[in-house]
Amino acid sequence: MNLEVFNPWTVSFWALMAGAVALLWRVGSSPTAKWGLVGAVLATVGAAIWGNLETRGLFNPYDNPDIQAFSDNTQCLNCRESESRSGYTLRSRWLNGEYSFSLTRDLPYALRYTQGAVTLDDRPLAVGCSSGTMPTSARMRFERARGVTLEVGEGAKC
Amino acid sequence: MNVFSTLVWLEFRKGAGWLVALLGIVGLALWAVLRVQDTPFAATPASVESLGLRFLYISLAATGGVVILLLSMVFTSRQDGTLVLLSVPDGSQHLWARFAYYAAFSALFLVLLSVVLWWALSRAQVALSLGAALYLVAYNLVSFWLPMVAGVLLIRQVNLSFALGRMAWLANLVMLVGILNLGGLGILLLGNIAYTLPALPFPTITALGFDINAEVGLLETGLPLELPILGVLTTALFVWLAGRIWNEVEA
Repeated sequence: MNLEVFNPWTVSFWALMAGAVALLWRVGSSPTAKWGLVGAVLATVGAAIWGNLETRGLFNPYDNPDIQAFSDNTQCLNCRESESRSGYTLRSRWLNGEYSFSLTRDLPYALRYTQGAVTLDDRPLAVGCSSGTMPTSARMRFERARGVTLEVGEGAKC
Repeated sequence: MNVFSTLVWLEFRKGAGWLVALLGIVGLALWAVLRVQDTPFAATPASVESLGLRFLYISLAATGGVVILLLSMVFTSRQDGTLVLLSVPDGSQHLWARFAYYAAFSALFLVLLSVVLWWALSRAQVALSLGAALYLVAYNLVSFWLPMVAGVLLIRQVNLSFALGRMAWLANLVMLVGILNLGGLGILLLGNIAYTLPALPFPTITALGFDINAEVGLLETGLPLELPILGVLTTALFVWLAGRIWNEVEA
């Protein structure tokens, strides 16, 4: 794997920590405490790698060439964006802000939400499920929308 | 006599002086808040300033209380060897008793300080019921405060286990880095699981005539239940580990 965290500085820091634990291993009088320190090193390495994987989006590597989504100044809770061969999905528990979409061709979309307000190019979409065709350039505004599931791509329907 | 209550009583004998200091801090905070002049009901710069002053005094009092609490936990655990018990109880009993004492000690401090803050805020036109204030305090207590108390007990026990080789400082350094990263992992985990369970409602707060819930939209989603659950699990894990270490060091 070619991650940013595997740079000389970070790896030397990990090595230094492991060295400290090896030194402490001979001194400590409690196995639990010693294994706890091993756990501290593992937590440090694990947090760095996990954070790196999340920022690089390596948990969800597929990039759909037809759909690009940008968010601007949004606040959201539990936002999950994913792309697959069939399209793009956005899920959120609570969403406030704007998403702009840039598509290579007009594509169907389906939006489900339970509370709040959502507009597509300033046209309000009703609470519940609404579907239609998204133009190649579109702006979707979410105002305190709850329980949002937005699907864009072939096969998106209510 | 019950072992647990004996141990809690011993903790009280060792740490009661600090309790007086904490109550003194609450008294000082109350006095400082009383000194702030009130302004008529309006969202004027003067009323916002007096609100800010009250917050400042209470934050200073809370910070002082945390420092005193931590000092108390470190200093009293140093006296562990000075008492001889006729029958030696299990390490986890020692640690749970100490945790119970400090949890009660800090909860009392937090609740008293919060009541002062609540009263100061109500004088500054921030409307919030006392029940709602205590509910927020309880949420914080379980989510952040008790895990921290348990964490300090654990750090102290790990320290003692490396004391023989005079290497406790290095163990502390490794632990500090580890705990910070564990916290980071906890935040990542929480980001993935938060709000899966039904959320706890956020209480209604009106400040200077504005409904805070309406102004800050995010509050309408409520408080995640996963955070206090994670807090309880972390607390139990820390105290259990500290008890194990105690047994291994004393054995």
